[in-house]
Amino acid sequence: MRDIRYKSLYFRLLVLAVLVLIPPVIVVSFLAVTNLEAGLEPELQIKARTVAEELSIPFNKALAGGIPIDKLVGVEDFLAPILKGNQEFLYLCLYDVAGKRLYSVGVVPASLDKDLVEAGKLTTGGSVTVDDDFDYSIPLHAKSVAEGTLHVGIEGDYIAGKIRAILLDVGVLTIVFFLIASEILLYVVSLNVSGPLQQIVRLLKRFAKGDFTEQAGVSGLDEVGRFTKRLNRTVRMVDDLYRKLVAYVEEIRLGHFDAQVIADVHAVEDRVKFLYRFSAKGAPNVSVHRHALDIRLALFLFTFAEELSRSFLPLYVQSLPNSMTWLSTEMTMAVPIASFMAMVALFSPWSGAIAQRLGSRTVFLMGLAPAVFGFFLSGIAQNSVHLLIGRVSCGLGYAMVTMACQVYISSTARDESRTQSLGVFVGAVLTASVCGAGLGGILAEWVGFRSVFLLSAVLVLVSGLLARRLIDQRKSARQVRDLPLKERLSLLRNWRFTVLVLFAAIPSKIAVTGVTFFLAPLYLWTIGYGYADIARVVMLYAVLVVILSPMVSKLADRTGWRLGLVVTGGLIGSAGLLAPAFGGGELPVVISMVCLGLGNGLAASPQLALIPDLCWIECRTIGQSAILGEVRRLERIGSTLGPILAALLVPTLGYGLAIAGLGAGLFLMSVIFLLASFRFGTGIHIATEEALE
Amino acid sequence: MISRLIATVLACVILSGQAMADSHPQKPFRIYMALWRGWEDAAQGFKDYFISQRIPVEFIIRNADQDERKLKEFVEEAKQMKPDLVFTWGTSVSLGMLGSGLTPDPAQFITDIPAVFAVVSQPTKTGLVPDFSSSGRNITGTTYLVPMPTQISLIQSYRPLHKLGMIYNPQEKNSLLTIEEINALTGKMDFTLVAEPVDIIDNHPDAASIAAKVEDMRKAGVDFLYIPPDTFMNLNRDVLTTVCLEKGIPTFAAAENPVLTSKAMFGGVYRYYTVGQMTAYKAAQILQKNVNPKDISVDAPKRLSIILNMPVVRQLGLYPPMKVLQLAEIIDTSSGP
Amino acid sequence: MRYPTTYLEGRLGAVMGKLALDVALLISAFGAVAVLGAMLLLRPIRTRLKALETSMVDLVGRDEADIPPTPDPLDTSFEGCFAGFEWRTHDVVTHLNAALAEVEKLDRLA
Repeated sequence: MRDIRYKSLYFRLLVLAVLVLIPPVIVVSFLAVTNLEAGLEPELQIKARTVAEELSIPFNKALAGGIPIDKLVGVEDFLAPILKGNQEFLYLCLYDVAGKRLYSVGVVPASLDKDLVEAGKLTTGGSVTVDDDFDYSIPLHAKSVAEGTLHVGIEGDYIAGKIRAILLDVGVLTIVFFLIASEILLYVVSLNVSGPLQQIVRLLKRFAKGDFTEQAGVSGLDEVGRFTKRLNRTVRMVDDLYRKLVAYVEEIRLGHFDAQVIADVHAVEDRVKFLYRFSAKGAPNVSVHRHALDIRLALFLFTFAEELSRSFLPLYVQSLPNSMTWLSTEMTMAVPIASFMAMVALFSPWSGAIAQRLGSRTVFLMGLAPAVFGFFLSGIAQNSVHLLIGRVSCGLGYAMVTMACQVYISSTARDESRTQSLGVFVGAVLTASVCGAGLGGILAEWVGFRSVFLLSAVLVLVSGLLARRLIDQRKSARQVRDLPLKERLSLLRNWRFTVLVLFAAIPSKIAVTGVTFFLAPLYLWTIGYGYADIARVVMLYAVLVVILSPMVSKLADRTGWRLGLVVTGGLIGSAGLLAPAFGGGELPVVISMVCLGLGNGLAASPQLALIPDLCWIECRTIGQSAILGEVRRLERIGSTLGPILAALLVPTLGYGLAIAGLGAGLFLMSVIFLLASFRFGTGIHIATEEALE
Repeated sequence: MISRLIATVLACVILSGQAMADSHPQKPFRIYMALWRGWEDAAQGFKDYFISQRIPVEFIIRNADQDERKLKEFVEEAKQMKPDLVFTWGTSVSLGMLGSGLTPDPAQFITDIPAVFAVVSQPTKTGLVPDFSSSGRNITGTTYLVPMPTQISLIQSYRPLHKLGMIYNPQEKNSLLTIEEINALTGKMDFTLVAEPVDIIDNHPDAASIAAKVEDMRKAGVDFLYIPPDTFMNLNRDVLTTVCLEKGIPTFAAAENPVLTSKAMFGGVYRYYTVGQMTAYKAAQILQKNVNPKDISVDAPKRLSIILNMPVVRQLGLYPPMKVLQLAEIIDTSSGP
Repeated sequence: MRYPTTYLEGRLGAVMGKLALDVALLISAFGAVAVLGAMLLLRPIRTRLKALETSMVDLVGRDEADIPPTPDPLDTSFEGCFAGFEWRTHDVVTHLNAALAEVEKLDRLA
């Protein structure tokens, strides 16, 4: 190993983590599942017997009262709630001793009648296996003679289904913990090894050029720290030598009578100063190297806290008493999501500006206050208004913290390229969305919504502890100014830019907040899904985006194929949303999520990469980062509109069709974008460009 | 006159636990019980509560035997004896001894001794108390009628109800109030009420007219006959329920007697025994904890009893739905088919 | 699947809880192993740093004869940078000492 490759180091650590983590998880899950399978089956039998015995009491009472078994009244009404309350029951029914099925609720297998006669259980009761399912029965009688049997049907697939759910939960947990662990690993490696080493390399290069103005900040007591100390001592010795020279020269200058000597020593000093550079302050300055990765864990934790509630937020609103009665139920659920997005959109420019003026650390810590307050209030909310206030407060905190991080990261982007450092930001946010969505649902199922919000508040505080270590730099190296209205309008006059924003950027955000965060959870809930199941489906979207985005980004850079990716992504994403129009249930929603994940994964980074192509004149006059900021701001209009539009569709279409309805609208917009894109490469735009070149 | 009454002084001195009795020799509370139809379930429930709670009490028991004139004598006697508490059974006794309104005449009624009443069907409408939450005076008590909406939905859960029949004594205030209550529900609960009074001959209700009235009900095609908590109908319950059974009309009783001791098909009631116990609980609050009676609200027991007269059910062939049957108490005198 | 609070689901929940605990334990075990692994992986870097550190000890006061090797300006590896630094430091120290001697001589001369 000739070179210290931090990336390879980190990569090897990750491989190690996978090797250490995955096999034990598999072993433990396998053991748990076998235990469960063995333990659950008798439990089911016991439960079936308990229920059957309990149910037989009123039937026996009726028979004892002289009611003939075929004249019982309201049996179905009586059994239906019991069937509904026990998911593992397939059916409940009564047979007379002759083998005639008198009453039943649920789906009774066609072969049961025959099987019972064959098994001869019509007077004695007992267990019979029918296909993969079980039938448990007990005799009913007024006196000692049986008049019929009461049957409880147990779904054989029930245990398998439960185990599948558990394995999926374990899978989600493994992914989430793995990602969290790798985030922490990345932070630790960067803080202790790669960060300081990069700083040392930077300094060594300067020293090699004869620049001795800076020494390193010492980070720890380990080898790196000791090495740094030794390095600093060497630099100080060199510096001392120089000071000695300067002091001697000064002494001669003040005290010597011979002007020629003074001139000669000055010449010596000037020669040294010409060849080498030393600090003007009398000692080497302590260099402060800011690294984009320094802030990554704090940013990750903060966004993770926010993402925890994503997959169940509308369901939480639904469970609270509605105190905004002038709004429809759907609107009440949509408004907290929309207002969070609106707050982020409104306060991001301001947050960016104050982060540049006051420093990222200060603004990060300031942003914690509304965030903690917001999560706390959301956690203890007694009605929908409390929650709304909580979400608005969280939105303000989110804007402040994320903008503080962006400003910090862009200010470190001296050595690293801008895209690379922006990657740190996007990477942290995306990883957090995967972890948050998955873990949030499981936690909600285990400990309830409110505790999840309180956990978020704690996580946010921890992220604050990490951010406290950062060093503020008050005036940023590069001022990204807020665009004046005139320039914004001039941007919109570029039709290519406007078309991209209106028909590609905004629709994709509408789909994300309207479907992924709103309609999909609500729809899945109505068809009987739990929070963990919902979270898994929502997570599917995030996972796809996380996997695809970096790959597509590289592909787009290498091939220069950007417009096509944006078009394809938009079409795939919106077309996938149409799936629920063709049928109900889980599968169409999963298809929608997968397509949306694919679509946004394909389109997200090329969308931004297209900007320099489409607005190359504006990039020169206004600056590329300002335009990117503007795109992000305009996109948030879509984020805000998403849940609102969705909520408007629900009363007429219902949740499932509302997804398709929204998808139809977005598909139309994608088609418009496709048509417009044919004209992107032609016209005055290119001509002007060529003329200028 | 008094000598003609059952002048049994029943001394039920129940000692509390041995140790308790040794350290606190307690004088038993004296309770004056004025009954209307003799000793029955409510009185028994009242007494049993004190036994089970080991509260030493001494009962002075008087039976008016459905004669309102005797109530004046009871008032006089109670005033002389000065018991710790007065217990009154039924609407007539309660009104006759405790009076109505907030300030009854102290010369005619008992006002200075705390009193509890039981088995009063309409304590507010008869003016015994102004409000269920407080009597505003030295009395409290227990009602025993199931709220009318609960009764009707119970009937509806047995079989669909379009027409509800009712035969009543027009001279009883109670019955008129019941009609009023049912009529208030017909629109909301989607049924009609067919109510007919029995004939009045010489200013007395005529029991002989009942059979003809039931025939009218059958012709009108009622789904159920409602037997109100009416004293006259209660007295003639055998006539009424037998005729109904013959003509195949199912009957629902608002009080327990027609089901328990006659041939009404089913009823939704608070059992008198439970009512008696609940009244005793209130009495104990007054006697032992010195709670002011006006601070104890007037209410009914919480647990509804559905009673099914199984021989009648079988004879009518109108079997109850499982949901009703599951909750019901089965009365089966002939035991089995 | 929702988890209603019936007896059976209670048992399922208990199994899930145990499983989660196991996973959590595993993850902490994994954390410990990862730290060990990290130390192991970092060993080469540490030894190299240590070697470089010792070579720095007498850098400033080193003998004239012991001139560090001339660095390869194209070598951007850590060692390459360090060699450049070593060489330059030696160079600057020599130069400064020479300058001091020269100034002293000039001072004496007068």
